[in-house]
Amino acid sequence: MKKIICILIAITLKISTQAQGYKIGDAAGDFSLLNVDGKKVSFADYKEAKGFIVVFTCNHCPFSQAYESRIMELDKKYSRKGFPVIAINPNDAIAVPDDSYENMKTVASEKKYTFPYLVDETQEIAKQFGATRTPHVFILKKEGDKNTVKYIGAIDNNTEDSQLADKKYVDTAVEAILSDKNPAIAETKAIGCTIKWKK
Amino acid sequence: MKNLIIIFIFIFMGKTHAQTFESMKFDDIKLQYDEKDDTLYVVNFWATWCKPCIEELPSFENCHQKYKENKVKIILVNLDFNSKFDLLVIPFIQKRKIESKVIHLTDTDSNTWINKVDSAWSGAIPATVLIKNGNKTFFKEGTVTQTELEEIINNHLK
Repeated sequence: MKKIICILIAITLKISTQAQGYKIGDAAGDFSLLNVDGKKVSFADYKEAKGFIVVFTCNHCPFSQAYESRIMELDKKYSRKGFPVIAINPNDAIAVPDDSYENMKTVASEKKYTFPYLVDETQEIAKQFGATRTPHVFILKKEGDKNTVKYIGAIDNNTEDSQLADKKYVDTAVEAILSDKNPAIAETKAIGCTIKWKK
Repeated sequence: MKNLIIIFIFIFMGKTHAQTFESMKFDDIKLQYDEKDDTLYVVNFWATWCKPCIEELPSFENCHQKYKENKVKIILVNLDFNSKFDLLVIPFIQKRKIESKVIHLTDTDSNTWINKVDSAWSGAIPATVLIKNGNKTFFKEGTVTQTELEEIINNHLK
């Protein structure tokens, strides 16, 4: 009986840790994911970076599309300051053919992405991070040999109209990290498309 | 004159249809489903661009029909962009002859209200919440099946 209880507790713990993903202050694990240029990308490749703006996004989702140019802006603005954008598409291409690797290549070349657009084929990285929707941002800061999670959430507070967004969460968070502070707003929520998990 | 009569007929026909198109802020929507009137409010957050949302809409419509005689009210909170409501959402509701109450949410800053629905909600849709007399009894991020919905509703009607 005791054994069964122990097993049940272990299972529950496993499920809950899997579902939660990273919290602020956690060290994010590295990965090796395929980019649209056919090469694998890892955090470890960026020797000069001070951190990363990791964006789980995709082709088909209107909310991802609405943020596309803002994501490109973020990379232009912050990659030279040491915080490059790394975009990851976690969606199951069988569920959403628009999000296939081939279509990712098309979008990246048409829009002239200046950042890697990686495919999370096994969806393990999205699960590891605890990403649930697109777009979903995680800002990491290099601290020694760790990449610490400093911000989780939305890009800004107005999806429909960037001109009317008066809280630029990601900008503000990166600026704070650049001046050696923790972001005052470390977590935000926004409506987005559910990540299409494999069945 | 003939035209005028035709227009009047159309207006009259429009009025007989149960669906009205309301847009409001989250706090006003919450006031509606927090009403302490012994009614079970089944509130679903959806958008026309969200495929799993569209796929589960028939379940909510079926429950709307099935529990008409009971104290059960379905509210479909639409999260399409404000600029798309007249253009896209109203025709969508009319075409599919949706009879459950649809309210369009006008807040642009979703970070201000998502936690007021449920702190466990990340913001991915669909999401569904059940409330009775201001007390939340169910929340789920993701698709709800018809069986699941009926089971919860039946439990409340016991």
